[in-house]
Amino acid sequence: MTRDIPPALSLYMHIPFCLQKCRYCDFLSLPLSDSNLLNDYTGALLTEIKLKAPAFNERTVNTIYLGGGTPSLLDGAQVNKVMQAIRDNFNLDQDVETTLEANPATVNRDRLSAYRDAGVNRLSLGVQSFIDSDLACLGRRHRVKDALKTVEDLHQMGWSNFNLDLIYGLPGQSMDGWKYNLEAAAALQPAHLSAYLLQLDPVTPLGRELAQGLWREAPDEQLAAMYQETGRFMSEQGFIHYELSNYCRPGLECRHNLAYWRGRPYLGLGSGAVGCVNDRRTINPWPPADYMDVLKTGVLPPGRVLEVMNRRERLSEAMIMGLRLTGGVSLEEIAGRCGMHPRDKYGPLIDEFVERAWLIESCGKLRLNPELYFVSNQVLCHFID
Amino acid sequence: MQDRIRNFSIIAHIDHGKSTLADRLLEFTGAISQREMREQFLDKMDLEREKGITIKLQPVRLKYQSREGQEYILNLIDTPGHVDFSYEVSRSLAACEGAVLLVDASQGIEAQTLANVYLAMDLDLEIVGAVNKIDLPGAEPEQVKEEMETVLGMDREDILSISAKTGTGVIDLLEAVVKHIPPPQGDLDAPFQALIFDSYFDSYRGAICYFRVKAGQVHKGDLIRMMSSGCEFEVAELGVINPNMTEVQVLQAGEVGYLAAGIKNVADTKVGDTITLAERPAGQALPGYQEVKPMVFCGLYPLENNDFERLREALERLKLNDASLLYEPESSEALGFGFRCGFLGLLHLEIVKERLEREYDLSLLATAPSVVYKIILTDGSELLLRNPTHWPPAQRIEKVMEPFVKASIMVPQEFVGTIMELCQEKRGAFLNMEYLTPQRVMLTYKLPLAEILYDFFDALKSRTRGYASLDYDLGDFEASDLVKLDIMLNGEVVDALSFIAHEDKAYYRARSIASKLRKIIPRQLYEVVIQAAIGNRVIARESIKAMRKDVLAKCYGGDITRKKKLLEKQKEGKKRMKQIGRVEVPKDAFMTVMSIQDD
Repeated sequence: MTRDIPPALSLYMHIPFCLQKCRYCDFLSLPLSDSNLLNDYTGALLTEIKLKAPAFNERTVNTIYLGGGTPSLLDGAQVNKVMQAIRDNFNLDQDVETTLEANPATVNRDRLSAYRDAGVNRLSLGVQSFIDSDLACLGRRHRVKDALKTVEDLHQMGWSNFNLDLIYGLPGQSMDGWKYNLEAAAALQPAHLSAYLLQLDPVTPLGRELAQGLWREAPDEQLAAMYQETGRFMSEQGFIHYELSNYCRPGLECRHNLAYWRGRPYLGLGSGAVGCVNDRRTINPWPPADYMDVLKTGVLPPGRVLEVMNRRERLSEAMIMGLRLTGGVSLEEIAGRCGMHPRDKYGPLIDEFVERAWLIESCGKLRLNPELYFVSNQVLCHFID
Repeated sequence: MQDRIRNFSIIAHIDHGKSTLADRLLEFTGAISQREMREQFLDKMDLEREKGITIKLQPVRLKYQSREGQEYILNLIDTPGHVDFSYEVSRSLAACEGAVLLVDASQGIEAQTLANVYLAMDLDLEIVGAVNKIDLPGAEPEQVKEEMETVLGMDREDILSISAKTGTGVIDLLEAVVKHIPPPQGDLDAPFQALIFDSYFDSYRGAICYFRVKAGQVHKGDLIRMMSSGCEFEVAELGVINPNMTEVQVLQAGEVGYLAAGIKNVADTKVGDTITLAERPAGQALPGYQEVKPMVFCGLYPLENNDFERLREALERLKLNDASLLYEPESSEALGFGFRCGFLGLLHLEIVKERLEREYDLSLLATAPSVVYKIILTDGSELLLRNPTHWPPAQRIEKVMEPFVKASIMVPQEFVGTIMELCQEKRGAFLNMEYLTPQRVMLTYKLPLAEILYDFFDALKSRTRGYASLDYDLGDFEASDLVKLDIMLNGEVVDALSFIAHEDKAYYRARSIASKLRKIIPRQLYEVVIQAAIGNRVIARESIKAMRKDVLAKCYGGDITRKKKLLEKQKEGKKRMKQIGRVEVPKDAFMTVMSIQDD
C-alpha cells in the first residue's frame, strides 16, 4: 500500500496593525496605538507557530505570505524572529516563496535589507495611485515620492520580484488619470501588478460618503473601459493577465495566491487569519487582544469554523475560484482533487455556457470568455452549490 | 325551533365596516371571548387580513338572547365586498332570509352595494338598514339615510345608526334582525334537501361542504346523495360553526351547517348542488346557481418546469373552494407547460395566484391578462379566443368581436365631467345619467370589458378623490377594430407577452410596453432588443445595453467565504427570473407591463 503524500502547505500570517485605517478599508485591521504591541504580537505569533506546526510535520511549506494590515510595521528583527520560527518548526521547500506586504511610508533601505536577510524574497507594495490627491482621498499615509523611493531602493538592491497594488474607480478618476497610473507603474518595472476596482463597504468613510451622495461612481461603461485598458496596456508591456485582477511578467505569478485559486490548503497564523485545511475553513480569534490572551496561556487559540465543505461544496469552490484564473481549470485535476467530476454536477450548465461562449473549453480545460472578466460573477454564481 | 332561527348576511362596500361588525356580533353574542378576539375574525385567510378585504365567506352560528328574553340562533353568512366576487355574494344571499345593509356614514351608498341590494331584493330578502361609523368626524348619518330612502325606498325611520367599532347600536341591530327578518320555512318531515353554498378541501377529512337545509333533516351516519352526480356518501361528521367547528347529531330545515363524508373527489361537491338522502331522495333539486363565466384569462406557469403536476393538483383543490375558477392546460414556447385560467376579474386573479403560491408553496408566473374575444372566421365559423397567442392569421379573420359591459358609476355631481372624459378615453358610449339625490349622480356607460380591466377602477378613484364607485354587468360581444400585438426579445416573439389592442391605441400601447420592459428587464451579458410588432410591422423598439460591470473584489484566502455569500445572493436573484430564450425576465414582468398608467 502506498501512502498518499499530503499536499504542500501555504502559510498566511496576518499582521493586523496599520499606521491608520485607510478610508476605503474594511479588512481586519486596527490603527497601531502603541508600538510595544508589535513585540507582544510577534511573541504570540512565535507561540502559535510552535504549537501549530507539529500537526503538519509531514507537509512541505512552499509559500508564505505576510499580509495585513501593514506587515511592514514590523522591523527587520521582528520579521526575522517569525521567519526563523517558521524555519525551525515547519519543513520549508528550498524554493519557498515568501511575500511581505509593505506600505511605502513605513520602509527604508535598511529595513528592506533586513527583510531580505530574514528570508523575504517577494515584496508587495501598496502604491494604490501615483497621484497625491488620490492618496489623500483614500486616506493613505504615504505619498507618491515614498513609493518611488521604495522602488528605487529595491532596484538598487537588485530586488526585482515585487508587486505594485493599484486601485481604479477612485472618486473623480478619469480614464487619463488611470492611464497615467498604469504608465507610471510600468515605468517602475515591477514583476507583478494587481489592479483592483475600488469596492466600498458602506461602513467605511468613503463608502458612507458615496451613500450620502457626496461623490458619484464613474459610469459602468467607463469602469469597464478602464479594466479593458489595463489588460491591453499590461499585455503591451509584456505582462500576462493571469487572474481577473492580476498581471505578471512570465513565470512571476504570485504562487501564494495561486494556491488559493487552485484550492490548495493553507494555514492562517495571527489574529483574524483564515486557514483552510482538510476542507475545514477556520478563522483565528479577533481582535488581537483576544488572540494574544489565549496564546499567553500557552494554548492554541480555537479557530472559529467558517465552513466545513462536503464534496459538492468543494467542487463548487474549485470552479468559482479556479475560473478566476485566465488559464481556467482542468476538469480532470478538479475531479481528482474533489472526488467528483465537475461534469457530474455541472455537465448541462457547462455545455450551455460553452454553447453561449460564456465559457471556452479546450484541451480539457475550461476558462472564462475574456469579454466577461469584468462581469464574471454573472457566470460564477451559477456554480454556487 | 325554526321560529328562533334567523339566517342573514351583511351587504356592505369594502371598508364600510362589515368585518368589524361581524367581530362585534361574535363578541356581543358571546361566541368568542375577549381573549380569543382578534380583528377580522371571520376572515380566515392571512391574505384577507393583509389586504383588509373579505374574499371567502365564512359562515358562523351565534346564540342571541333578545331583550324579551328569547334565545335565538343567528346564522351569519359573511360576504365579500369586491365587484369581482359578486357571484359569491349571490351564493350567500340564497342561503338567507334577510340581509343587513351596512353603509358608511361618511361615504354613502356605493354602486356595488346597490347592485347587491337589488340582488337581495330579487331574492325577496328582508333588508335591515344600518348606517355605520357614526362615531367618526365627518359622519353624516341623516344625509346617508335620506339617500337610502330615495334610492332604495327604505323608510329612514327604520334605518339604524351604529358604530361597529365602538359597539354603539349593535344590540339594536341584533334586535332588528330577530324582529324584521323572517324565520326560515321548510317542512321538517319532507325529504331532505340542502343547498351547498360553499366547500373546501381538508387534507384529512376530504371535502367539507357548507350547506343550508331547505327541507327535512340529516343525521350523522346518513347516506347522502349529490343530486347533480348521483354520487352517494356516508356522513362522517355533521356540525355547526360557532365559530369553531362543533359536531351535532342532526341538522334540520332552516339550519346552516357543514358536513364531511370522506369525499375525495373535488368534482363531487359542486357549489350550488343539492344534497338529499339516498334512502328517501327529494323529487327535484333546488334552484342552483347560474354558472359564472370568467371573463378574464391569463396563463399561470410554474417557474420550475417540474412543478406542473403540483400546480395541477393545487388548482384542483382551489377550484373546490372557488367554483368560478376555470383552468385548462396549455403550453407556451417561452414558458413551457402551464394552465390558461379564467377569473372573475383582476383581483380574483391576483388572489388565486397568491393563494397558489402561499398555500401550495409554488412559484408562479402569470402572463398578461386578457378578456375573451370572439372571432368570426372567413369560413363562417366562430372562435372564442382566450389566449392572444391563438390569434388566427389576418386573411382568415372576417370580424373580431369583444365583450362589452354596462357600467354603472356613482359619483358626486361635481365629478360628472371628469368621469365622462375618462369613459370617452376608454371607448365608452354614454347610455344614461340619473340624479339619485341632488348631489349624487348615476352614470351609465357601455364600455369594452378590456378597457376597464386594468386600471379603470384606479383612474376612477384617483380622478374623483375616491368618491366614485363602479358596478358592471356583462353585456354582449360587439365588433371592434382590434389587432394583435407581438412583443419580441432579441428578434424572437415571446408568445406569453402577446396581447390584443384596439387599433387606435396599438401604437401608444406598444411604445408604453416596450419602455416598461426596458425598465423592468435587468441588464444582461449582451444587449437585449425589445420590439413590438403588428404582424411583420415593428411599431416600437427599445434596447437594454449589455451589462458592463459587476462586483470584482479581490479574492484571496480570507475573502472566499464573503465571496461565496455574494455569489449566493446573486444566484438567488436569478431565481426570480424566467429565462425566455436567452433573456432573463423578472417573473412579474408579464403582469406589470400591462398596467397602462402613464409614467
